[in-house]
Amino acid sequence: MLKRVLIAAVGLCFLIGCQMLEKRASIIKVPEVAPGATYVGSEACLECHEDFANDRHNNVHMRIASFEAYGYQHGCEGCHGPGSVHVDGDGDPEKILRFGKDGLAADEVAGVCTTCHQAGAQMNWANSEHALSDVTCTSCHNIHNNPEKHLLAEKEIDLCASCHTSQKAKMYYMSHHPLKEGKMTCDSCHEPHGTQTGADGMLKTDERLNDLCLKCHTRYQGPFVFEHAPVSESCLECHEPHGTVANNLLKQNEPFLCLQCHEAHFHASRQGSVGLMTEYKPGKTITGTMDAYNGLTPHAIEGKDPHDWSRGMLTKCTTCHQSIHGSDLPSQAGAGLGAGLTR
Amino acid sequence: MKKYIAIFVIFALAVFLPFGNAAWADEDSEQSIHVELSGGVSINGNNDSPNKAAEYRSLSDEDTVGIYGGSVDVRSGKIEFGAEGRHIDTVDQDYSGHLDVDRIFELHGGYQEFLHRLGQDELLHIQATSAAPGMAAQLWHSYEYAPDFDVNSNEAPNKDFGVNYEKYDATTVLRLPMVPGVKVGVHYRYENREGYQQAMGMSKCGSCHVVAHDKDIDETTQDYKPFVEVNLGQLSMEYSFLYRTFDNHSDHLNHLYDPAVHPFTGTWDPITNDKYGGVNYDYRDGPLELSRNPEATKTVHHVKGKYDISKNQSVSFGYIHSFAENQSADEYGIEGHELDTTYDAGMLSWTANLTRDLLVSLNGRYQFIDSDSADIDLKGDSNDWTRDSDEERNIANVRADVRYRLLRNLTLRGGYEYESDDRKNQEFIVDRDIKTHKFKTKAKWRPSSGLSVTAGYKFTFRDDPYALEDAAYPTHIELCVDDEGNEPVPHVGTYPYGEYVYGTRTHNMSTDPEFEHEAKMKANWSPMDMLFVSVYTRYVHGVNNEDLEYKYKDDLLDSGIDVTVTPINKLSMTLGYNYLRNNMDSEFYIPYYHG
Amino acid sequence: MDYTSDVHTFMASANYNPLPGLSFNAGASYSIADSKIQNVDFASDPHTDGDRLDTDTKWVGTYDVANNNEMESFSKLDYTVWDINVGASYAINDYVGITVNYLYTDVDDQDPYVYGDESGQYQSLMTYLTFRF
Repeated sequence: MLKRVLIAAVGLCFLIGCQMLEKRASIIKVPEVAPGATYVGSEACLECHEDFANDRHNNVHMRIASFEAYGYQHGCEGCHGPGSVHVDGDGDPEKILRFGKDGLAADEVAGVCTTCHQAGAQMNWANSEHALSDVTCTSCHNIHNNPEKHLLAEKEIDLCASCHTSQKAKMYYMSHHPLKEGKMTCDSCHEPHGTQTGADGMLKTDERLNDLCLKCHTRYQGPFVFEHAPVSESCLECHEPHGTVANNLLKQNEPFLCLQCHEAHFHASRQGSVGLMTEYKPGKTITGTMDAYNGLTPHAIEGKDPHDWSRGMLTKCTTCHQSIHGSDLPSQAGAGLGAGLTR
Repeated sequence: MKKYIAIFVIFALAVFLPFGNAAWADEDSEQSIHVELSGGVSINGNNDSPNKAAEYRSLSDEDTVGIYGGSVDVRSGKIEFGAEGRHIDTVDQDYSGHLDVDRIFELHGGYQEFLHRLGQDELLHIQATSAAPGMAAQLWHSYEYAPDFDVNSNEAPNKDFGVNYEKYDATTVLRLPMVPGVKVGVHYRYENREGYQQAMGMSKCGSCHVVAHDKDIDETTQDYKPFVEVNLGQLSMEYSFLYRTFDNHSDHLNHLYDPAVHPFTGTWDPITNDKYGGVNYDYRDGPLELSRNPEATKTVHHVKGKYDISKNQSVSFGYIHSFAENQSADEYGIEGHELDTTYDAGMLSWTANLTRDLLVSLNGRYQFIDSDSADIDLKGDSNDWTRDSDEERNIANVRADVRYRLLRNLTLRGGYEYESDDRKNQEFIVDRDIKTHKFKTKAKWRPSSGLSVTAGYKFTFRDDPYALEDAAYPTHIELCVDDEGNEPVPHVGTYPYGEYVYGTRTHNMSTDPEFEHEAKMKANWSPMDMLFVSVYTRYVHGVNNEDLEYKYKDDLLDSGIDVTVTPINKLSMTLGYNYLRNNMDSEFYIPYYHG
Repeated sequence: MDYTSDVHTFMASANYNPLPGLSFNAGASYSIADSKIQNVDFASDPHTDGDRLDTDTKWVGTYDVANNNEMESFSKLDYTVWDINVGASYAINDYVGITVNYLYTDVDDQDPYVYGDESGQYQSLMTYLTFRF
């Protein structure tokens, strides 16, 4: 009995779904610019607009199946609206939907595209930063006779950089993600159509910012036994992903980055030696005995830089604290009770 | 069973047939095949260090290399197939392809491989020296002290550090004509990283000696993500499930501590020859593992949807549940269980064009993060403690945005965002509950057809910004006398150094601004078709002296100009300049101890 | 103590298609960057036997915060980067084309950090024939 009910329910859902798709098409539809116009079919359009005849090779919109946009017209008039008045008016441009400079406003253009593109990546377009900034679909996409992937108006990096010039400049900094080398693109991390989270930067994640970075940098997923608190806060506490002067995409070089939250080791104030010093080298002592340190014996050497302690501890903190993102392995120094992140 | 199958088939036909014509009404009988093959050579050269000049390029390692590429594009009735690729080097390849069968079955994917060169810390800055009274100075922190530092002479002579990234991903989608509006699919991603990088360890030997090793990298990440998307008229919904694994096949890296180099279990006074106190809690001999990334798994359930109330109004919602688990924590005796983090978040938003000129958007999001505590059991009872997770928190976020078209050429925007980040366990920060308020305003003005100016201002106020509590400035040391009557050094085992020295710190430190002002301006000018000029500037000023003994400041200026000239249709030139200046003012703390 | 980063980036690009099937493209960027700690200035304040900051002293055990006044130079970064790419593509006929690309990168590391002198140049001249069917 239950199975029969389930099959019937599923079938009913499909039928109702079809009804609902038709209802959507009656509510969410393209603007009307020519009252009373009817659909004439794409072949009628191509009689004048011959240069778009080969468009179907690159333009997926010309190959859409009816079940994909159920209830909506396919072909040219799916976007440009019913064309009978336009055709009868000898191609009067005011009687057809246009998307160029003299055409629809930004909101209206997006309204046309989202009649079909209402799910998937475009689900959150309406309140996205691009939509709120009057950037519309045709700002980035060029639908006709365009061989570019995703019908982008130009290559992705050049397209994004045309507005986001500062981020383009950062591609050329010493430390950068491989964008200019073509190994990554802006949409590796950003979702230009908007996201559920609404977080700044339209990041391509529905969770927290860190989860975006951890998609590729999975080795830092953890959770670790010994944590580093700013890592739990946000990767952007220390890193700037577009490009930085310091290595490893760090906002500032070490040790300054670390010294903003931590005090320095007190030994950094210790003065080094000058004059004769002892260096351990292989060999025997004067008395012929081996030193306890694995066959190395002390030899006198010339003095070193008096700032060598300061240099040792105030150049690069992660020389010693290498597992800075967290570790399961306890450090051995008692002071840190295992949490020194040196292993 | 047969009865049910029969019912299903009849039902499917009943639903399918009306769409039969619609599905194939647009049949394209055209057939075409386009093939492109490319072959050539690359002549390469490099001088000095390739680590930065060719950080992501592999070719500098070889003088002359053959390069190959091509593409194929096949259309035959209902089937469309395309693929393209290029092979520059065995570690520099790029391929992608797609297959479309009558819009019912779609497959697209790609493969990519590239090299990332890594640098090597030469450790030349680790050469501190010291001497006790009456003795010749000794070389501590000596890179020469650990003879296997020289990575070019150890197991892998002259090894260049770098990691090969290899990525493969594929998405399969199925749309059934008989159930329009339903799309099911699965996405698979495979990422492998292989190579070597430098690993440095610092343990045991007085915590003063740094040793460096080659670290073998062999890590794999795999994502399996089935999903289903349903469009039921005005309602669109999507469900996806992600299962991610991170496997670490790298060799376990160990540094060997043996009796010959066994450090003293305490501090040695060369004059009295006494040993007392201790810096490390563990002086056992044998291999000590270092630099190990734990294996992990992650699962994510995500439901999201949108309801188009009308052409001008929509509501979207979503819920996400994720579970990430460290698969290796129990290897190190941490109470024998895996650590995990659970994340739950729900969101709701409403967007409406109330009038032709007025758009309003309201958003709300709530996140729960639970993460396991870890019972730390180091050698010696006084060293046991419980690590509560920094990740545990509840975050509430609400946001409102308004956009109003005041005039045809003037659009105004305003927005407010409130976030409350309530941490459960952060024992190190000043205040567990950080409240952030953001106020935004923006205007876009087009005074003439070739000129547009955008100006914006954002003010952020963080009530009790993220700060490390008692990070610096110890005021005194709790002196103690050990069981033998020695003093004053507090030593591990009886009197934890962390408590008696670090525990007397009194000043907080922070890197987050309490008040932040951000001003942006951009002007685009195109006086004629062949010329386009864009000038932009952004200034950010942040300060924080909340619960700090100093004033933290952060100033950022990011400005530039871009000029695009198209003197003739066939020629386009662009010149650009960007200037970035960032100045941060913080406090440098360094303590003064017994030495 | 403060930290300052200064970066100047110059970018240029050009595309020229004089004839159908013939195209030229060129791009260049020049980046000058430096970042450093500034204004570290501790007054000498010894606590041990009145020893001052004196590089000739043989007695170590002197802790003086003024020893850190040199630290500004330890982590200073100063570099310039040139990135140039030039390319040309010509369709000999409907079935055969030739493409030439040249890449050049020059990094001049004027203040090496712990990684040693990372100065280096890389160049690559790629040429290939394309056959279309």
